[in-house]
Amino acid sequence: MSRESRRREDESYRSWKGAYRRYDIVKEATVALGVVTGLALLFTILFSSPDLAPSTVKSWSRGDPVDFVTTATTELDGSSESASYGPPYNTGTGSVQHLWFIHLQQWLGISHPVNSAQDFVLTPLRSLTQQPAVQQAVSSYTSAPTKTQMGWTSSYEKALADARTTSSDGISVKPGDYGPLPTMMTALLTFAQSGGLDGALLTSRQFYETDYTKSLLFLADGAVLTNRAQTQHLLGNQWGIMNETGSYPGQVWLWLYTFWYQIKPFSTSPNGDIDVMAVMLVLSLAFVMIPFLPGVRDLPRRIPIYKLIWREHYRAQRSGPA
Amino acid sequence: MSAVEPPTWTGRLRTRLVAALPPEKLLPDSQPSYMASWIYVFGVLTLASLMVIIGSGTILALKGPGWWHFTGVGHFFNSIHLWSVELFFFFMVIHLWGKYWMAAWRGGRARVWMTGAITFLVAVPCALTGYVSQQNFDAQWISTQAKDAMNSVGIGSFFNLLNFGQMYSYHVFLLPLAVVALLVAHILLVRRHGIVPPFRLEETDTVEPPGAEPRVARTGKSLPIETAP
Amino acid sequence: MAAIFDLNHPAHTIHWHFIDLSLANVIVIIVMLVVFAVAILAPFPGRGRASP
Repeated sequence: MSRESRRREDESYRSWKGAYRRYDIVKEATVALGVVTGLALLFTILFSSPDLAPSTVKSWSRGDPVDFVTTATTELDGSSESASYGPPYNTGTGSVQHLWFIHLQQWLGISHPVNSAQDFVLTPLRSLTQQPAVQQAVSSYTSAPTKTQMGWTSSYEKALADARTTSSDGISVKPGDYGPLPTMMTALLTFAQSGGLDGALLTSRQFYETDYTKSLLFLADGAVLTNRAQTQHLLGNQWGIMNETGSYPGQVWLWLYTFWYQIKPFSTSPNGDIDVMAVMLVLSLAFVMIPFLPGVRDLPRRIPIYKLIWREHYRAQRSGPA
Repeated sequence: MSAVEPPTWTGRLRTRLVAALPPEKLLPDSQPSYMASWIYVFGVLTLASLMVIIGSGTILALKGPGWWHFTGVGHFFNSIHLWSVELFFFFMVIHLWGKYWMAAWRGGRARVWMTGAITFLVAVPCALTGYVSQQNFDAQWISTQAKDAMNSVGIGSFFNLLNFGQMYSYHVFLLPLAVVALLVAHILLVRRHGIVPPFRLEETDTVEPPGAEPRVARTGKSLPIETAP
Repeated sequence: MAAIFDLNHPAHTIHWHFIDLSLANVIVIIVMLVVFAVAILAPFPGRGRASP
């Protein structure tokens, strides 16, 4: 079809010169509102909605003190996911992604500075008053050479792999050269189990705070959120992006976004997120521009579902005017 | 009312608006005879779902974000809000399917399709900000996972899923405003252009006799709706 | 306010090759397809009342 004939074809559909029927738009909208309200009420009465209580640093440290202390140690030595993440949190490179020459994550820089060792371990410990032994341990750690610090954290993390929980929700590791770490981590664990660390991680420059970045990064570095997510089928490889907790329907409209994460190269790429976002950007633009895309815009004509939709109209046309 | 357009901004604007959308087009009481299918109700069902979302969301906003965790009434309205969101996307996607298979962008209606598509695309992050504002485990998980996608494209530097205050603000004000604005544009364009007529069945039908003038205004604007005699 | 049906248990999932969807989501998708088909196929009231 030539461009001119396509233009004339399209123009011919601009307005309708045929018959009309009576129609009450306000009544239709009112009925629709009633139907939707009724359906929402019905599903609410039948199924309610899910509300799994959030994990807290307190519940995490009480439920799995070994994982808590292990995570805190990795924050201290910079090996945790958030410690080595990169922008927008810090200068790490562990989670920095790019697509070809496009390094948006790096270009946009550090906008939410997070120093894992300071924010999650050292600053909370320094806030503990009337505990000179803890302050001494912190000073010993911070004044030691980096190589010594790494030696302590490395040995401690190895020992933590075989640690056990005590009856008082503490932890027990076999003896070794861990420097001041046992004192520091015992104090941090106690602080966390009292609920104080939850508050300390929220504290910022002002009294009122709504930014949970530090709390959530710390929780996400441990296993508590992942373990719960696995039970609820929310992991990435469980198509979790589409899912809700429990047996509720989730975000079905995210099916295509989720799909890419399940197949190569996205599923194994270190740049999987930006790759998927790029694909979805292109597809979203194409979705918006369907009226202009050859082939895609012609499919409705070629696959005549329209003949079912407008069968009454075509029947009336064939039978002629009354 | 003066028949001559007053040389004021107000007068000119009013004249343009009324020309584009006279009252009988804005609130018609007739529709083309070819609209004889249930597929046509899914647009208004989507709109109705959005009204229930906004209504239930308003009640949730009145009592603050923590209310629904501690009271049965609050949980009730949270449930209404969640199910109306499910219904919103349910009806919107079926509406989209119907409009695609009707090629509803024909006859100068490309902007109708585009505003509808963009509304869908904006509704998705609007829902996301809602999910991360729940203040429960689901919100913790979704925010800590989705942050990686946001950070990978640099959006995380100014759109922090872990910042409840920011996400709540986006969810109860900024993104619903965008969705409603797009929806208003979409609906006004539908009212202005009318519902797309059916495909002609005969492939060889000529559009108009050779040499005839095209039956559209030279400005390209659609002609006013002709009501039934 | 307790629901009539308690959905607060881990989801049943449908596995097919690499596809792994929750039963609830599969039901939603199937219902959408059915509703779309019914919407197109079901007779619409008010046939033949259009005025010329």
